[in-house]
Amino acid sequence: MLCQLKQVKKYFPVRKGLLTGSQTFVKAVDHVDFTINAGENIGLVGESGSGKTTLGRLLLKLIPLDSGQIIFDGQDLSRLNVRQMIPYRKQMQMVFQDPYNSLDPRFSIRRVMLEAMIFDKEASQKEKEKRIEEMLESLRLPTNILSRFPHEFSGGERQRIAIARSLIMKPKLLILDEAVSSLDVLIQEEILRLLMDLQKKMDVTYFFISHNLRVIKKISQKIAVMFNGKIVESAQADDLLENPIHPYTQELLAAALHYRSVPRTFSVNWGRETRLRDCGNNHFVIGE
Amino acid sequence: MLLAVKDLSIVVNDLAQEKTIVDGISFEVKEKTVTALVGGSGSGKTTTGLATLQLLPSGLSIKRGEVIFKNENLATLPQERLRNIRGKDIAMVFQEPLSAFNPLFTIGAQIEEVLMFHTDLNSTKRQARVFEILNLVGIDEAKRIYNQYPHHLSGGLRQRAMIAQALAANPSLMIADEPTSNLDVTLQAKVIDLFRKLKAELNLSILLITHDLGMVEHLADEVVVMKQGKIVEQGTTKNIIQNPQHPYTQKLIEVVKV
Repeated sequence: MLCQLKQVKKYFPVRKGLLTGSQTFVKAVDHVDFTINAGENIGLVGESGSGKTTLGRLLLKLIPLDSGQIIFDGQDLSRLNVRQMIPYRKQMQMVFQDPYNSLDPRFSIRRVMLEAMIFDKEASQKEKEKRIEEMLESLRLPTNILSRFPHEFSGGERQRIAIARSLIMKPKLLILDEAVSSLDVLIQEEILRLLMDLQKKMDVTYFFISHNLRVIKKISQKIAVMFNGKIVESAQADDLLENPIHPYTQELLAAALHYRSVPRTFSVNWGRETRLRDCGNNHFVIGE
Repeated sequence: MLLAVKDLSIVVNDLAQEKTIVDGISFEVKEKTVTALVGGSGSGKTTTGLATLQLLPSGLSIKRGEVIFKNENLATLPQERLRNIRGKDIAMVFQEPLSAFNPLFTIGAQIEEVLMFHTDLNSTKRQARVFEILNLVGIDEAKRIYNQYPHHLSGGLRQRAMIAQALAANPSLMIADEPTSNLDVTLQAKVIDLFRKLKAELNLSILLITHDLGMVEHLADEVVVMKQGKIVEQGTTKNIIQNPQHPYTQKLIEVVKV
């Protein structure tokens, strides 16, 4: 087991009643339990506002969690302070949706890559340069781009640079948050293939966040469906696509694969006690 | 036939050397049909859409060719005449509705503006028409949305509001440039449903610009596939999807296959 989430919770306060002092919350991540096994890519799917991005950020401790545990490599990350997190930081990395914002426009590609290795105190400058070259090569980027700047590249190239940066410290877990959503279908395909090729060479597990099941199913062995801060269904990818049980999963499938809109029929009154129910074959669904 | 693009070429002319980005393309949009202009980034599909209404950004210009709409060549029409066509006969929907709306005016006021310019309706009738059109695009709380500002609305609602604005003056052609790319799949499916309904109920033709052949298969009647400024294949959706000839089309279909 690479990483385990136990009852992870994150609420965002939205409004305070003027007289009553009562606070309302957006339940972005609502007591989520979740396991990531090494080498088993996970796809997290859900609509905007379902809490999937928040979950990804919590996983890396980019934002503090309200309660619960994140166990990575046997260590509970939720108890660690910033300094204690450092050795874990390089083992978990993230690629963001928009490569136009995630690369500093004033940094050359060389600096972008070197900055990612700033905590590697052992490697010499020469070794670092060599690793950058190898990394760029495996993402099919020419090595003569090092002195160029982000604005000189297309969206697809930038996203490959962002992936190269995130993988240069050889992380065990890579979170890709809508990493191909802003690209056209051909470039999406190209990047997904590169990611799968890279995985054969590197010991990395992908946690792929997207709203689009069509993209997710290409790269994931396991899929989890998120709605309103809860995981509503999770299963092996093939199983989930063939036997979707929860109506929300069925809705997402109809939309992503058949471009068909299905009226929403289910209701959401899950308490914090609501757990996933085992349907056999590692297929879990929320509720009774 | 509603719109005919004939031998259209568009060039970048502020470079030292002239560069052709749309190279002699011809296609037609028939009445009451959805025609899809499909291609990857940089294929020239968006530029073609903009050129039909002479909306090309500075630096680009139409080198030759015609855009025939109701016996007039839009490519050479003076701007004053075009202003009467844009929004009234041909409307446009963009990918990013937040930048297409003016943040300082309410949704209602911006849809009404179209009616003020293109129709003789008085203020009461205009407002009634705005409610009607908001209902048509599936916005139930039309009265509330009317007084809201663009940033109040979610992405899906904003996209619907923009479609409502486009349809306010009853155009016969809507050019939709990646209308669903910024929406998640559940909202995408709703917009596609809406387009189908509009086509059936309003006698509307749609020129759909997209990179997603999966969506095209479920919405379009005819397909034009573009690659690097040229048309590589065109025909009915059924023919193109079932029997694609060009390797580029085959690849576009392959990647969205379920």
